[in-house]
Amino acid sequence: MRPVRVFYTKKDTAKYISHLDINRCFQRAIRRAGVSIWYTEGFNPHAYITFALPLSLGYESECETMDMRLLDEMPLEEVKERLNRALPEGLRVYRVAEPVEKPDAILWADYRVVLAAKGAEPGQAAEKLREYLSRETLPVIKRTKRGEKEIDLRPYLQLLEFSAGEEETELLLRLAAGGEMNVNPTLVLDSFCGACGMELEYVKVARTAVWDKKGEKFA
Amino acid sequence: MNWKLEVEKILPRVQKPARYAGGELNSVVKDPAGVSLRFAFCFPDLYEVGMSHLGMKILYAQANERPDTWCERVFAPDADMEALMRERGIPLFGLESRDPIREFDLIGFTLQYEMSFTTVLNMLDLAGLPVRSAQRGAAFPLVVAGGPCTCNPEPLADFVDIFVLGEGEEVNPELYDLIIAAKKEGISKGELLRRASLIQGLYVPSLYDVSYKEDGTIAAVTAREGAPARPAKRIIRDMDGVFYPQNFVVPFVEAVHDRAMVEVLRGCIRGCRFCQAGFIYRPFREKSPQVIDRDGRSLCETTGYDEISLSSLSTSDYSRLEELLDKMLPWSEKGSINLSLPSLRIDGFSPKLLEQIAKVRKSGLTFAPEAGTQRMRDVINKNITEEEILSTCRTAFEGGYCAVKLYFMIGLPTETEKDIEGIVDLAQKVVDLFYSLPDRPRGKGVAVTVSLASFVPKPFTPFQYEPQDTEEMLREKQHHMISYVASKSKKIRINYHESKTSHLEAVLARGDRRLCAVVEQAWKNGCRLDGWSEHFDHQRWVDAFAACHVDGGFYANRTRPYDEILPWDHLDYGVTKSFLTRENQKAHCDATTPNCRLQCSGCGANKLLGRACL
Ligand code: SF4
Repeated sequence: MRPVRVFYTKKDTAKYISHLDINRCFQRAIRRAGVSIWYTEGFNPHAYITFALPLSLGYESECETMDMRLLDEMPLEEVKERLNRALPEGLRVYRVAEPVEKPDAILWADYRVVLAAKGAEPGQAAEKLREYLSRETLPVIKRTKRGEKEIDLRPYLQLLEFSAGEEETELLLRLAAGGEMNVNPTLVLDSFCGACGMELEYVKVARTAVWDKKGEKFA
Repeated sequence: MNWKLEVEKILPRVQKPARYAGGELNSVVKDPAGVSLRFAFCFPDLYEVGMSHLGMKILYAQANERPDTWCERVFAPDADMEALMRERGIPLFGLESRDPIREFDLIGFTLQYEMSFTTVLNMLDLAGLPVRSAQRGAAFPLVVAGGPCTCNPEPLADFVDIFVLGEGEEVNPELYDLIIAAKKEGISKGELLRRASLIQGLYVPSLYDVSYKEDGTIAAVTAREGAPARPAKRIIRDMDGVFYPQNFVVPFVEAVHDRAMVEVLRGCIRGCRFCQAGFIYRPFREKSPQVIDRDGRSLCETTGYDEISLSSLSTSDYSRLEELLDKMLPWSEKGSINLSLPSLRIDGFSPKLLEQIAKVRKSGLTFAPEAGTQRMRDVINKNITEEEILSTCRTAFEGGYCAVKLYFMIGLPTETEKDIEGIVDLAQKVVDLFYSLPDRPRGKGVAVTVSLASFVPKPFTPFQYEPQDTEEMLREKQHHMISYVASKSKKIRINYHESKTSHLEAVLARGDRRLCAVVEQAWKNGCRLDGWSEHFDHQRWVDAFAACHVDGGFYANRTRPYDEILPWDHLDYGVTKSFLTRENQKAHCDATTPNCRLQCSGCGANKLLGRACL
């Protein structure tokens, strides 16, 4: 039994596959691919696969990972090719490798966000957003399993890039990720809208990188 | 307007957007410039329901096998999606291309149940088309409907251009050819419909005039312009040669039945007198084990499903079931594929079969005795005895089962209080049996669930003449049952479904063309997705009947004489009216009819086959 990590992208229509459904989708792809992996035992055996960092419905990603346990000696390049032949459009495996870190080493994730504000002039909306993201403190209400609580987003958010175009504003955000503190771009945008009285026409989000505690790329 | 961009903008805002996004594995995308026919296959219910439906999978794959045709799937949007589509003016689109279906050549609906009728109208409207056939002057898109409800399509006659009667695998391609030729020639809609009416299996309602007597019953149905007096349904004669898909579209969102399915047989030998499927799908035809096994293997390989079901009206009537299971069990077990056998009859279990089944299925057992007393079961021709029910339960309990679900109907013709009590008595006997067994599963109690449905008289059944119990009568019977069960064991649970939709079903199932106005009015009142209790609003239907001055009771609660012209009498489904009348008379004498394997009862369906059935 050989643990491997499958790195894949999730784009186009595949972005509408929910976290729950992506599991089933991979289960089936693995069967179609003829890659034999370890199954859970017991009453209702199913392929044992785990996903590192849940991705919100509607987000694209260039850096998703799934861990599984290979049962035979198939070369990793072949695993990758077989999976790619079996996966639906929008899901593409770009690497299969032995895992280096455990998923709980994840600390940050980068998101490219493209948005258009409702009603507002593009320049004006971008200005407001830039101003908001540079505030000293960013109090938000975060919903957790134990109810709602107010936190300051500031230590968990970095604005890496910002550009205002004709209609759309594009930004690259680095947000806290993982088990201890996980900040979703939607939380940032919702609190911006609340604080500045804005409404968004649409938002496109793509996860572009995941970082571990040592500052190295997890995916 | 760029619809595709607009769709992208609203998808993040709706529940389960994958239902509208397309892109599933094995969905078919073609170059629109390279095809002559674009076909929107519409299922008038939500994605999760439609994607469970085998017929749609077959016809979708078959149409797309043709290089000149592109068939796309369309489902009814849920309320949140519909609201956003209407707000932004986004027309109903095909899942594969996201192109508006009003630009297609053919729009085809499948009518699986009466409660989907308003959804058909709503989907036409969402597409941006007039709902009435007469108001769609252009030949295309042509609006067609098939499925079991087309055996009496009259309540939709004003909306649909052509109904497909019977099975589609042969007649659909003929229709595609006709449309492609018609487009080339540029003929009018009228001419296209006339030509269609000459193809067996197609029924063009606008070519038939219906007149009524003073008492409201039908005086005559007259064909015009050369259309046949009695359009007949089509069937497939050679089940081993018929097209079957080698892959299924695999949904991302979980469908109600999300698994591979192989078709084992069509038709039914049983002849239960309440069951429409048992008559309209006649005659009985089987596939051979090799073909079923091959299709099953291929489907599991191309979909990655870990469950496969053997689908038919009554899989235990398959004459070569053990042979089939011997073929399928080795590879399904090896691949951890769960083999499921729905619709098993209680009298179909042999010990070996039960052993084979127990290997693959450990969940609860379900049986459908349908009626509580032997007399009542004789009336409905459900040829099961109490001993058979109990002996099967015994084998099942000894095999480790401890939950049993029993399906019954109330409101059956000639039913008395005794028959109602008989349901509870039978359930109680199952409970008692469990506790009498020394070998029963240890440390466990038994759970017997009685699932009750109201009887709905359907066209092309021996009960097509019967009145349905009024809602009041049904309520009384239900109360009686509940007080009776209270005096018995606590191990019996009763599930009862609302009788309001049953009444509507009874009206629509046996309705005539005067109901078109009611269906349209109900839709205008806001009805859609009526099969879902959270969407169903009875008052809107009540208002629609009132506005159209139509009395639902005339259709649902009236005994129809044998010589009355019924709204579907001019459609030839093989089974003859004289046979149905004979069966009805036998029912009233508590007399049973043997199944087709034991003896042919001369129902007339073999005429479609051109030979004896079995
Ligand atoms: S013709 Fe005879 S055998 Fe064939 S379906 Fe009818 S009753 Fe059964």
